[in-house]
Amino acid sequence: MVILIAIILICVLLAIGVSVPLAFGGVLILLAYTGGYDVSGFFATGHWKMNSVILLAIPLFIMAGDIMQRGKIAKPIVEIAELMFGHLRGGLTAASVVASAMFGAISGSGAATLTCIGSIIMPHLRKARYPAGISGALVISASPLGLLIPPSGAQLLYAWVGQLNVLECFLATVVPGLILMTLLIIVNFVILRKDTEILVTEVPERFFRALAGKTAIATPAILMPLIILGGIYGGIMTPTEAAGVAVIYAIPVGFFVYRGLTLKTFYESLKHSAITIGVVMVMIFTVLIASRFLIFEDIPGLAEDLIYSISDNPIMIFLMLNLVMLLIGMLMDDISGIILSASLLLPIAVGAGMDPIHFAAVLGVNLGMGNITPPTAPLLYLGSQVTDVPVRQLIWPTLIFIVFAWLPTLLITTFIPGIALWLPNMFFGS
Amino acid sequence: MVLFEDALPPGLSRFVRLMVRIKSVLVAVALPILPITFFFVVLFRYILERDLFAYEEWLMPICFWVFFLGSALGTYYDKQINADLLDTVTENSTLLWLRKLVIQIIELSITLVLVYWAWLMIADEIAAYPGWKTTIALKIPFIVPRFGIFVGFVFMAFYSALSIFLMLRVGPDRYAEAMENARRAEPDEEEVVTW
Repeated sequence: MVILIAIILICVLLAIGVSVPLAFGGVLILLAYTGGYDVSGFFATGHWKMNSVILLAIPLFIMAGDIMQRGKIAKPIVEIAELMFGHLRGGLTAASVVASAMFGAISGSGAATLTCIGSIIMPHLRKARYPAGISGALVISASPLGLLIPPSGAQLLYAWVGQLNVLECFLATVVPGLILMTLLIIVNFVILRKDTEILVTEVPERFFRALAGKTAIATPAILMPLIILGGIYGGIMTPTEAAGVAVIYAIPVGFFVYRGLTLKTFYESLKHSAITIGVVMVMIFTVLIASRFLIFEDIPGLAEDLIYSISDNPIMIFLMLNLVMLLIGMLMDDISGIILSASLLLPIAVGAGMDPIHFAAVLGVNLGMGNITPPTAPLLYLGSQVTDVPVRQLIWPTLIFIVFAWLPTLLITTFIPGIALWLPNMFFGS
Repeated sequence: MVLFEDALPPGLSRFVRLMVRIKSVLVAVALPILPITFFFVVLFRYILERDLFAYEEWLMPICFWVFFLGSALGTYYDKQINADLLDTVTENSTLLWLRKLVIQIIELSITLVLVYWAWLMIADEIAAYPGWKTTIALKIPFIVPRFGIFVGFVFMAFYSALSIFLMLRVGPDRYAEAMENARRAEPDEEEVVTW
């Protein structure tokens, strides 16, 4: 009964707009005083759980994303994508999808991808007379690619909570990310193919020369994912160290190459990063404590009993797990969602025969989709701010992208394990 | 609360701004230590072929202070992650103001309990003196990062309480006006980036 009240409480608190860490704080208070726990140990537990160097990759990715944004490091990446697709009707929006995937390989975050790519490309889309609702919705729908294309802060957290190999979890989301990217581009072209209002750019006479020029300008930016991914997969650095080195690399590039950083903007970037990091890490702190006590209350066992009482068919179980993860993704951000799902749902998925690495990909796609699915959709609301398009104009086209791009990606990823496991198996053996 | 800060009494306003400035400088100065440390970890490993001794023992306490002071600033700037779903349902300024006020009262109530729990943690640590729990190599007491957690929650509660005071002081009309101005403003890079 208490558990049911706890679940209802968290849903109500999140739905009315209480901030995520305090919503979990509310649940903790309920559990503490109804379960007779000794509350003096709650925060010490949180400190112990968070006292991990691995977790520091998350603040470092946030810093890297912020410095890239203020340092204008993402701009040349967007320009390359524009040059390649701008001459097609729907090409500029397709470019935003490609740029989101490329930026995702650096920032490791859906929100950072949305803010950075959205703020750069939206003025170009307006100038080229792209319909605001559709283009804004596409930029938003593509932003969770930052969660799927490695490195991903969310996957790192999943690997940490589930005690799994982080590199395998990173690799598991690559193919689903590429499938999603392709489907988003196809749906975008289908929607915009007859929109004659759109202005397309001329293909430069010497296309390859122009491309080479843009690529040369973008090289220092493109080197960033190479440093991060090369460092991690080359076995040279841990993800946390790679993120730290990426930040150190981004600072001179932002100051001296792209000149987006000045002492003032650098200070602002540090201050702003610290606020974002604080907000995220305190959220992790409370969610970690809450998830620990939910496990004490045997929520995974109760959820398993509930699911198996409906059906013991693995297909049905996976569908129900997807539904639960989607709801989690709709209610809270990706970081909290990952901690809760990894703590509570991973045992059920494994019990039903799903590989934990496969679950990493399913979870990534689910939470990405939940983050843009109305009505709660944290990335949708952030996207409305970034693109300056009202939410009501964004909802319908976002639903189209969800139904025709996200949902097929989710089903493919869930029911064809090879999609997620192919790359991890290739690199690490089955 | 930053939107209505000018509605604070002058003395309190100066105090709040000073606190925010101090915290901002502290976190901005401390944050670069994080990437610099990992850069040197890699440098030491491949250039000097040795490990940076017990770096995590001094780095983690710094991080905890940055995390919790950063979160306190997040409360001040109203940047805590939430779903402002109900804001899209109605345009009635009184309802919007009331919704925000109710949420802030709930948030303050929860934060005060969390402050009490943080205090219990600190009290446990103080009571254990001189047998404090410390890190293994450098013997840094755990009370150092844990005090950062406590201070962070105290400031979160303080800013939440101030927000309620300001909401009551400005009323629905000025709240709606300020929110509309904030919405109309060009999405400022500083204001919109979240994780």
